[in-house]
Amino acid sequence: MSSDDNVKRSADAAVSGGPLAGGHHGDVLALPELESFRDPETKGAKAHYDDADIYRDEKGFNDHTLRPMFFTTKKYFAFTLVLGAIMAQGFVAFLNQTYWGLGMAGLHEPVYWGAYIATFVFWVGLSHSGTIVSSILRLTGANWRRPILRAAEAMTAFSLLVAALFPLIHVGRLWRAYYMVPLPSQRMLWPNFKSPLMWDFCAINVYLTGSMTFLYIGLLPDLAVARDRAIAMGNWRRHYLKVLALGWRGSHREWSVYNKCSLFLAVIILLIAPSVHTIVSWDFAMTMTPGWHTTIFGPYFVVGAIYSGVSAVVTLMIVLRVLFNLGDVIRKFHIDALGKLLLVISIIWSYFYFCEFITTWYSHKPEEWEIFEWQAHRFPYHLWVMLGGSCLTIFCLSWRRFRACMPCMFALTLLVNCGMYIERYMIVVPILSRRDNPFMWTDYYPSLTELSIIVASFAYFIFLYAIFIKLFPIVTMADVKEGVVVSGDVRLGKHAVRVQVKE
Amino acid sequence: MDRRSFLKLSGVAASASAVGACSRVSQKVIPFVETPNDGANPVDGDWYATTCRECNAGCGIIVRTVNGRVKKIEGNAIHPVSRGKACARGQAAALSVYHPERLTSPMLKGAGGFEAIGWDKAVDILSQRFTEAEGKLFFLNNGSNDAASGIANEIFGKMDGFVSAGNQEPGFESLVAGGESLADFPRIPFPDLDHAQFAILLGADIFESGPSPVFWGGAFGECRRGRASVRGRLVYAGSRLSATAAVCDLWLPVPPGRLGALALSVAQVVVEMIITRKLASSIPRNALGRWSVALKEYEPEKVAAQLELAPEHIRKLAIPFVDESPSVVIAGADVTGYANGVAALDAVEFLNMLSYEIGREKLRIHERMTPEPNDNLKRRMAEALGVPHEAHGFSRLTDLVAGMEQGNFSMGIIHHTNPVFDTPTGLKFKDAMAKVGFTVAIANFMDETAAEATLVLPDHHWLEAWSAQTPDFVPGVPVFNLQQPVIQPFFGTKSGSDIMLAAAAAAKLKTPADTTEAFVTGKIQQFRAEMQGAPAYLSDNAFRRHLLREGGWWPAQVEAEAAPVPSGTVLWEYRDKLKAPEPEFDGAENPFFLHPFQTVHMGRGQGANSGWLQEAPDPITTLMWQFWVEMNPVTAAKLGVVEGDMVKISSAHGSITAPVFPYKGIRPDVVAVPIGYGHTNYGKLANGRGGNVMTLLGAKRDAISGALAWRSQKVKVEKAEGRMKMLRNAHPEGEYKGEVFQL
Amino acid sequence: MRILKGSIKVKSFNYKEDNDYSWSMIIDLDRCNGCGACVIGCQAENNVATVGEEEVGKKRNMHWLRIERYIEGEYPHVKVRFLPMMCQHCAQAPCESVCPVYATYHNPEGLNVQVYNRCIGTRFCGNNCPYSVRYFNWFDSSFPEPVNNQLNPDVSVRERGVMEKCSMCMQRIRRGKDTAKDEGREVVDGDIQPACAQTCPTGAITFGNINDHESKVYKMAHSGRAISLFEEKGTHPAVKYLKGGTNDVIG
Repeated sequence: MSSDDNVKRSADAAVSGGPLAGGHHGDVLALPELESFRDPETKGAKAHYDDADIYRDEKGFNDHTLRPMFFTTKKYFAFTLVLGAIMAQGFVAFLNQTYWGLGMAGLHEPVYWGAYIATFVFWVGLSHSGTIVSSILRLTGANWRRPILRAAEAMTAFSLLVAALFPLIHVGRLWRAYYMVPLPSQRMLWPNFKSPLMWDFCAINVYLTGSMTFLYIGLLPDLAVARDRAIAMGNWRRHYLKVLALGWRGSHREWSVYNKCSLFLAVIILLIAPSVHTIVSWDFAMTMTPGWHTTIFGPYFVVGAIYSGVSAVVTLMIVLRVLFNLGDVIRKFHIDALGKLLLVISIIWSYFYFCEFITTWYSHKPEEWEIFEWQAHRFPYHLWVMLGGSCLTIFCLSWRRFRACMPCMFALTLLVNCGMYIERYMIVVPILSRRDNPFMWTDYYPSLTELSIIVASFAYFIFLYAIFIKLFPIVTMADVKEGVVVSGDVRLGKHAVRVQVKE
Repeated sequence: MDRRSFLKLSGVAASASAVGACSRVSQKVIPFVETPNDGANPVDGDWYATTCRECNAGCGIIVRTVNGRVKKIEGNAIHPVSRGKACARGQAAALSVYHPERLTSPMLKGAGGFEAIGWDKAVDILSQRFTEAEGKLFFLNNGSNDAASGIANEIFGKMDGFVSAGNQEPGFESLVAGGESLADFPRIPFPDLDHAQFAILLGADIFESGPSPVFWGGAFGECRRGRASVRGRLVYAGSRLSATAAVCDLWLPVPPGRLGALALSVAQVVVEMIITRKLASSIPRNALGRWSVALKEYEPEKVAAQLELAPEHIRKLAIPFVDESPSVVIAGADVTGYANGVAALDAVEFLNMLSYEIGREKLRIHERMTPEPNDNLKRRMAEALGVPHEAHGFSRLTDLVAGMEQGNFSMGIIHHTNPVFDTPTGLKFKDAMAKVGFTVAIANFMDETAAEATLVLPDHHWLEAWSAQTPDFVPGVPVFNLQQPVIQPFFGTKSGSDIMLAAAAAAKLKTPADTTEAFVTGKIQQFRAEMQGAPAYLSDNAFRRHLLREGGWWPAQVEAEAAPVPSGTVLWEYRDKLKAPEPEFDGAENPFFLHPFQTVHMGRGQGANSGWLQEAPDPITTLMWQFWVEMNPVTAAKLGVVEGDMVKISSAHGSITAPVFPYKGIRPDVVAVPIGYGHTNYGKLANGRGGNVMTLLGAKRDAISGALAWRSQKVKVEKAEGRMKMLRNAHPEGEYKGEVFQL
Repeated sequence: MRILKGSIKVKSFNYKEDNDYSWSMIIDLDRCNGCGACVIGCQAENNVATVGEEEVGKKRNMHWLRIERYIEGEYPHVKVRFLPMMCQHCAQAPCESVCPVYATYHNPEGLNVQVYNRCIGTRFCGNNCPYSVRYFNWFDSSFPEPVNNQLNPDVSVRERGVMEKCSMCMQRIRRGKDTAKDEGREVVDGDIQPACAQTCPTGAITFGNINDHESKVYKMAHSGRAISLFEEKGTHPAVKYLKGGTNDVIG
């Protein structure tokens, strides 16, 4: 990059308009008028991409999608302050626990894993939203995916970041946790690669690296747009954006490498993601604890993860839509499509529930049935939310009108994730409190320390997201534009011919 | 070979060797863990033999010390009482030496409470008081014969007005009195459980309360599985399924105070069996005939109703009693706890006599049958170290309290006992103590009694002090236990008996020795000639060292010869004694029988300040750090309470509140409360933990022996305010799922 | 093929072929009277912390050896059973494979060993132990002056965040072997006694080398009464129990 001016001149279009650029330099696409915008929600017509008049004006589109990044309200600061406070109290609770010992948590023998691990699994599950959805959709070429990719991928990265904290919070001697890392040592002591926890450690690290890379690579063209915008505005963001954008200029070669890379990463991530959650499930399934030791756990966890992940994406979309006025980018159509996806997954998920319960009920192995009875006895309301929520999801999502109703979708997807959190809790806690040795049966209540830390983890996730929105473009601009089908009448001699432009 | 195939082959070889090498290399690169050195290089430390003084059983122990600190207490393998084992309380003494609440300096009660004074001043005050008392003083200990009581006896024993008494565990006195007419001197009968094949335990909680849980534990182990082909069978009758009852094969929930009738009913069947089967030829036929007549009214059918059993149950005891002989009957707290206890013990003795007669193998059934001269030696040893058993009973204590009330004493010495806490309210010991001008408490810890005393002398812990002791009850042979300091005194304490000697010397009284150590040495010399089996060729000092190394003296051959057969005339005497009187109860109008019981950890309350013992789960309830009242779930349902609900238990003498622990192994008309809880002044671990069941008791006594009948109290139980979380180790549902282990 | 062969080599459960010693403990349930002497013996020997009333309420007591009590039947046909439970030192220990840092491993003498300074406290081992006999140090154990004078110098005091459990009195085994070595002999049966076996008044606990076919434990383990707890789980414990006799019921 020779100078700011230079960059400024090449500006948005050259950089971001990859597919559309085609030699056009300037803010307005040199295309005929677009067909008038038909709103599917109001007119009941089938949604098309080619009718979004916001895409007509690329500069306008960039302005619109970058607004959340560059314009910050006081409310935002107040909000992050609140988040900061919640995080701070969680951090204090964590320090307290580290200083005095894990006794500050409500754990005891034999419930050695409690809310921390349940929350860990929850966050790992949530992380399956983004990358897996985005890579599936990328590979299958589903066009409607485009605006949601970034938000979903960011969610993966952040929920993984949050999830990765929990094993650290959970171990007894944090200051010795580096023993997990295969560092060469004088005594030739290596980590035990036979331990599922070790696999888990590796899997999470791989997934974190992978999803971060995926997020970053996908971000590159948009970073360049944002960089140019920031430089143009003289905004302080230009400093890091200049570095992170890696000098992206939107050349053909860059685009072709970029596209290949995205495809390649999508395939890799698609392989990693299910393996990660399978390995997380093996933390449980590989033990000989009744209730955990079952072959169904791998796919069960993966599907559960996608279920909760997709729900979280929907929740997040609706939140972004409302908060940043992105209703015209993230449209009801997208929510509708995601709703359909969710419907399929929830059916699969319910099928897994069915499989789990029916096999246990039929065989009626005492030690396993004991756990189910205890769950029903001790956590009846939890079970209602968990199982009822799942049935309700299938029922509701079958209705187009429901899928079109944003508050309904918001509530439903939240409910799904509540159910999924409970599901994780029900896997960890009741099974441990009704273990093989009946003398040691116990009950478990999370302590205040645990609750503070868990609440803080949610705050931390939202905080990371809030910060991300302010530092990076939240809407996948390049991808959206790539998908835009521009149509219009092109005059050819005397005739006006209707054409569609799409790369 | 052409170039192409050479390359092919070398490629194959290379890859094959790579694969082969990988297996080895990978094992080198990522080895399994290097096995670390298992533990540090252990030190052995020094082991000292001494005697456990946590209760009066007199278990021989060995103590491991490292760098002059007590580390571990274990049983002395050659000792006839402990047989190399130790109980929970004994082992916990290793911690109590280092208890932060140990008293460290003498304290004199002034206007504003206790003031620390120097040892010199304490001795001065004491000697002055000794002079002024002129023999009008009493010495009260926990009922053991040890050097301190021996010293007190030798200093003051000849003076008029001196009384020595013991605040013994309740029940022993009756056991001593049981079948007294046959004894040449009173002792607890000592059935030979080791070699029995069938045992009837009549309310005998032998693993939880005295005379020695360790000794009885060993005997039980031998009985149960000590022999290759025989599994000893035990049956327990009593109103609560105690830990002892839990290991028995059958539990018969007999109503309180009816065990004498059960014993006689069993005897009736046994006598009939002897007659019809023509067994036991040594018993005169006419005696059998008369017993048969005398026992007619105790036929199973006739007493079954009052025992709330079916007649077959009684036969189920009686038939194996003959068929699986040798058999023994052991009586315990659920017999002696009632006012008809001694009468029932006569029946028990009678059964044991019959068992002896019909036994295929001869048992050492009765201590009183062990041959001379050991009996005499045992008695003389006991008296040399204190006073005979008669003095340790509740009768003597009652007399002592009466004397205190009347102002017979100007001074009293209370040595390692806590009567204000562990005697019944009905005895009014605290009030009587206030009437004595000057009381000295020799103790390790501040407790309820020491708090009432005028002068408190912090004694050495028994692991730091010299003494000697004779076990009262087991194992049926004379035992002279030595107690030696295993460490230097840790706190600034002095031996209580040394202080007594010093003060007596200052008061110009005649003292047996200058120090306790010298006193003990003197006693060794006194009995040296009679200590058979010990190396007689040694010098006095070497002999003493020999005994210290062994932990004391006892006959080398503990397994005494089979005892001589008692004469028919002696057995004959039983004719008139075989009666089972109706039990009498205090507060008979109340609906529930109060069943105070000792637990394995608390003793009579001494264990309450030990963290180890408080945290050790009770065998039956698995409760820790907690006081409770046991009642049948049916009773609890009737009272409308569930586990953890507080109930108020009240008698005419007082009331306590306790959380309910529903327990299926208890009669519905009985509420059981553990002894030893409810301290008010015994350190922060003990204080305020529950209530003291002794505050519910009057001083009801046995009709014959005058012993405290500590279970003959009926009480009211009502629901009270509040709930308590029960700190139990067993899960309330899981405890019924033991079948998963397929035991 | 070599690799395959290596991996299918079956580990011998009692190390008979490879080692002189394979420690084993036999508990005679017919003898156990639940008195709890072993619990205190273990506590004194192994510096097991007392945690206090509040922590006990959270079920965090640390006794390496506990006596489980089970109740069967209804009044008056009630049966109470005692079951001493400590680390079973499984030959196929579920706890060992799951530890990510090798803090627990199997030593060549058949014992399951916990390496305190290696442990990071993931508590995975505790979750995979069907017997629930692993205890976690939720806080630093408190041995305030002067109580610390009782601490056994042979056994380390565990830090917070570390798992601990019965070690079969490793220090006593070590001492027994040292003594035998000094005297130029093999360890004889009965030389080595863990604190619980040493103190058990009824003699319910026996400890010894099961590779020695003359030893008491070998004979008891082959007595026909011997069972392993949760045998169906295939853990092959080194601790075996002798079944109690049948019990009468009244009525």
